[in-house]
Amino acid sequence: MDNNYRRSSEEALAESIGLNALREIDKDGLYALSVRLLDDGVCELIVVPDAPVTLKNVLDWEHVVGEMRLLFHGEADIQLRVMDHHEFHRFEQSNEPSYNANLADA
Amino acid sequence: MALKDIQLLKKRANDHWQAALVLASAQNEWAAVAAFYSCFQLARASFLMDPVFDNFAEMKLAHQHLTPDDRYADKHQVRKGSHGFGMVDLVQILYKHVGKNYRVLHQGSVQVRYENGLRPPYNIQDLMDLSQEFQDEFHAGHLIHSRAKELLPTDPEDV
Repeated sequence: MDNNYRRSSEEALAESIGLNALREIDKDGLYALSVRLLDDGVCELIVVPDAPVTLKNVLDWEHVVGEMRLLFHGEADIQLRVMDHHEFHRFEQSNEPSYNANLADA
Repeated sequence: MALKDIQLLKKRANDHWQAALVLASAQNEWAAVAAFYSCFQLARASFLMDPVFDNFAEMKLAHQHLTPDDRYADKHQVRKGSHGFGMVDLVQILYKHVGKNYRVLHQGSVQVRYENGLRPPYNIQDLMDLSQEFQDEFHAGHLIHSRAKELLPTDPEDV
C-alpha cells in the first residue's frame, strides 16, 4: 500500500476517533482534546485538563476510551494520555501527525 | 495455563484480595496489583458462567464481533488487527457499569509493575475501593450481561 495513502487513511481514522470522543467527553474543565497516532498503530486520546486531575476525571475519560475501543474495534488500538499544558504545547509544535480539537473556546 | 474452574477462580480472587488488604495496610503499592488480579479472576469466572455466550443473538447484540470463544479470554488487551477481545474490552462490553473501574484498576496495575509506581490521581485506597466495588457487583450477581445491561455505570463521586 502506498505510504501516503496509508498515512492519510490513518489520519482520517484519528479524526473520526477524535470527533466521536468529542461527543462523549464532558468539556467542562478541559483545555484541549487531541488524538495522536503512534508508530505502533496505537491512537492516543490526549486530554489536557485545566485543573488538577481527579480520579473521577480519569474514570470518565477511561469510560470514553473504552467506548471508542469498542466502536473502532479491529481498526484502532486506543489509549488514554493525560498531558499538562506545557507538554501539550510541545506536542502541538512537533510535526507528529494528529487530529486536534482545541476546546478552549468551546 | 489460565484457570477454568469457577470455584478455583473465586478462591484465587479471594486469596489475591487478602494479600491486597495486607499490602494496603502497610501502604505497599503492590496492593493495587493484587486488588486488580482479584477482579481479573472474578471477571474470568463471570465470562465462564455468563449465558450470553450461549445465545448467539444476544451475544451479537452485545457486540457484533463477539464470539463464544471470547469467554475463554485471558489476555488484558489485544492489539490492532488481532482477532477477539482482551478482558478489559470484554468487561466494558458485557458489564458496562463497572467497565471504567476495571480499566482504571488495570492501569494502576501496569503503573506498579512496569512503570515508576502509581501516578496521581491514583492512590492505593482509591484502587482498593474500586476493587471492592467490582467484587461487590460480582457477589451481588450483577456480572451477568442480561442483568448488567440494566445497570448504569457507577457514579465516580461514590468512589
